[in-house]
Amino acid sequence: MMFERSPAKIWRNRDVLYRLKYSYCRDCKRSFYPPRGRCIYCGSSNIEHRYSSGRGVVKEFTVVYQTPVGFTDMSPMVIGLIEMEEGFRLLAQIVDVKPEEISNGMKVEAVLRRMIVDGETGLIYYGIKFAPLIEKS
Amino acid sequence: MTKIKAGVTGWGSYIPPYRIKASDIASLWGFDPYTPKAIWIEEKAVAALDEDTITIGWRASKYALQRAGVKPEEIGAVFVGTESKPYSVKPSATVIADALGISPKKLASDLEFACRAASEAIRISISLVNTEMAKYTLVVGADTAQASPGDVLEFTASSGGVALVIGGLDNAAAVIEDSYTYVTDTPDFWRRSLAPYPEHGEAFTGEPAYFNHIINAVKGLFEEGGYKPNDFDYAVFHQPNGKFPLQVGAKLGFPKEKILPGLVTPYIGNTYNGSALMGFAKILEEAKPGSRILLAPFGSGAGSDAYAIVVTDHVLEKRDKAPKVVDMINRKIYIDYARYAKMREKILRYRR
Ligand SMILES: [Zn+2]
Repeated sequence: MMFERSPAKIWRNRDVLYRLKYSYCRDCKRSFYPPRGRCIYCGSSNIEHRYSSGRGVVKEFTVVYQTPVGFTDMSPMVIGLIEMEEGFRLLAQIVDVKPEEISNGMKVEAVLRRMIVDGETGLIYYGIKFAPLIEKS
Repeated sequence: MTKIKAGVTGWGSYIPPYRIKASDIASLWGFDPYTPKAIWIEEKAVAALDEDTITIGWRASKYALQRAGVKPEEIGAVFVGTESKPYSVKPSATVIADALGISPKKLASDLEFACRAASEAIRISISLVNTEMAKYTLVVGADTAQASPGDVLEFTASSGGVALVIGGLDNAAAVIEDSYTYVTDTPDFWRRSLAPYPEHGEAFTGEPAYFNHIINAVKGLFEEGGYKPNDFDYAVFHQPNGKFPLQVGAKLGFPKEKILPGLVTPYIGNTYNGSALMGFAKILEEAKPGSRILLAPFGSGAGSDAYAIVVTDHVLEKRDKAPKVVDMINRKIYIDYARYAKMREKILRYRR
C-alpha cells in the first residue's frame, strides 16, 4: 500500500505509484518492488528499472474491517498479496469483487483508482489497485 | 468532400460493473412504474467510490493504446472530454497522461461541451494529425454523470468512458472519411459552477436541441459528402435514453436494424461523453471490414457532429487486444439504491 499523505513524496514517486515501476537485477535475474538502487536479494547495483504489464495473480488475501482513517468508506477492504507476471510481489487493495468470490490464483490487473481524497478542498491522490481481469462473455 | 487523412488507430472503453435497476429508482421516488420503459432504460452503470472521470478515462485509454499498438511516447496530445471533472481547476488529461507514461512533449487539456466535448476533441485531433503537429492523439470521453436524486435524469445519468487513439491512415482500424459540425446556443441543459446537479429546460430538450442539431449535422454531412442513408451499414447517435436514437434515426431514414447494434444506453445508462462513442466502440468490435458507420454525438448547449467512418481490415487484428464493450455490459454487480447513494456520495454525513 505504502501510501503516505505527503504531496511531495507522492509526486516524486508517481512513476512507482501510477505505473508500477520496478527493479530488475541483471546479476541474479530477480525483480522487486518498489524499485531501489541495490538488489534486495544479492546486493548487486547492476539494476535496471522497468514498468510492469500490470497483470498478476492473487497469492494470498485478507478482508480488513478495521480500516485506517481515510479508508473507512472502503470498508470492508480486501488486501491481497499479488504476484506480478514479471515475478515481483506487492501488497495492494483488490476492488470490484466480493471477498467470497476471490480465490488464490485469481487473475487480476492493475487499475488506477483514487487512494485518498484530502478533505473537501485538498488533493485527490491516485494509485494502483487490482481488479479481476475482465473475461470474455 | 473534405480532405481528411486520419483514422482511429485504437479504441478502448470502460464500464464499471456496478448496476442499479431503473425499476428500483422508479419505486424509491414514486414514479409511474412504466416510466423506465417509456424512455427505454433498464439499468445503469455506477462508478465505485474510488472511481472518477480520471480513473475511468485512464482504463479506457490503456485499452485504446493496447489496440493501437502505439507507444505512449508517440502520443502528441491528450484531450479529455467530460462534464464531471474531478477538479474544477487542474487538468484530468495530465494525470491520465502521466499515469500512462505519455511524454511531457504533448498538448493536454480537458474540454467541456456537455456530452459532446470528446467529439470536438476528435475534430481537433484530425487537424493536428493532418498538419503533422502530432503523430497520434488520445481522445478520452468519460463521465461520472450527476443527477439530482429523484430527477428523471437519475434513471440514465451513469458512469463510463471511451478512448480513441487518432492517427494517420496507416494501421487505422477505421478511416474517418468526412465530418460536419452544427453548433448553436440552445439552453436545453446546464449546470452552474458549484451547483452539484444539472438543470434541464424541459421545452428545449427534445426537438430544438437533440433532434434539430443531430438532424442538421447529419444532413450537412450528407450534402457535403454526397451520402445517403443507404451508404451506411450502421448509425450511432448520442443516446440520452433508448428511445431518442431510434426516433432521430427514423427521421433521417435509418431502419432500427442499423441503430440497435450501437445502442447501449438501455443496458448501461447514458455515459455522457462516452455515450455515442461507446456504441461506436461496440460496432468496431462487431462490424465487417468495409462497413461504413455514421457517428453523430450530441452535446447540450447545443451541438452535434456527424462523421462518416469506414472500418478497415486492421480492425480484425486489434479487436481481441483488450476487453470488449459487450464483455463489460454483461459483467454486472447489482446494487440497491442505498449502496448507490453511498457510492455516488448522496448521503449527508461527517467525513472521516
Ligand atoms: Zn540481485
